[in-house]
Amino acid sequence: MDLGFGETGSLLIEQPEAGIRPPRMPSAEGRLVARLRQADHASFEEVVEQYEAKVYGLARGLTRNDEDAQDAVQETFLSVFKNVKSFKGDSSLSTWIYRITVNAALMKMRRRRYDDRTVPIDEAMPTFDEDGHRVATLPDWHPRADEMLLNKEMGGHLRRAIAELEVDYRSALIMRDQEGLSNEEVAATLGLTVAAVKSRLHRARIFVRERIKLYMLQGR
Amino acid sequence: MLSCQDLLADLSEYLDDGMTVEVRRELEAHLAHCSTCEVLVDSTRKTLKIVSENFSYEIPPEVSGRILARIRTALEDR
Repeated sequence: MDLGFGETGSLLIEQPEAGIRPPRMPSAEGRLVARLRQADHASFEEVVEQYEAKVYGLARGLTRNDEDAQDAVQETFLSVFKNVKSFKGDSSLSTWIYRITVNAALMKMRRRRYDDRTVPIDEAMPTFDEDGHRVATLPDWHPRADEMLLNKEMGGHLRRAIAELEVDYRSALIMRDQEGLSNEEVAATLGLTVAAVKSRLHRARIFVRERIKLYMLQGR
Repeated sequence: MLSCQDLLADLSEYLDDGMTVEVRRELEAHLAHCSTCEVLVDSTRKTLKIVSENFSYEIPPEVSGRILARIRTALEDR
């Protein structure tokens, strides 16, 4: 299913598509979930400690706004706390938490209606001649590119390129390349097949690389 | 012989080392004589390396503390 803004305001990602077998819950995780269900105070602190960095990274990358990301993180963990009794273990705990995070972040974005910095992904895709060779009117990469990528200003351009990705592609890139989730975890979180995740990731990576090339060559 | 377009279609899988030895060999044969694609692969790999190594956001400590405080309050209110 595509990420998007539901008309009714209901949660946007609910169930993985049929055919995706969720990973088996490891026993340590099963024990943690049992303690959460019993409202064991220490278990909630353990969950926050274990997941807050990835949850924040995901929320911040999606919303592109500190305040919204912080609110989304807080809402995510409060939702985990309130709803853990209804967590059936059909997915791993981490997948469930990330799914709540994505939904919380998307709701923030929907309220702000500020998803207007994105650039249509097809605009950045390379073009080819009829023989399948690259059509490039500009040099394909700056000669000092490696050095420039490590430069602080170029780091800002790289963040900007990621922020310009449409949300479906941005979510895949942030989860996989920024936060280091596996394709399977991204698929289970977003309710997609692994093939769909790979396809989005592929286009997102090319988009970011092409945008960076433009910034470098235009000196922006 | 693969074209640049074929290589681009497999770029992400190639970077993730997610293809058969045979396909990889074909892509590498193309890369050996196409400097444009060689630059494409190299630059995309470096860009993603920077994203994966330096781009995760650090959660501000006060946010972390606030979350725990809210959860403790909620638990005590039960």
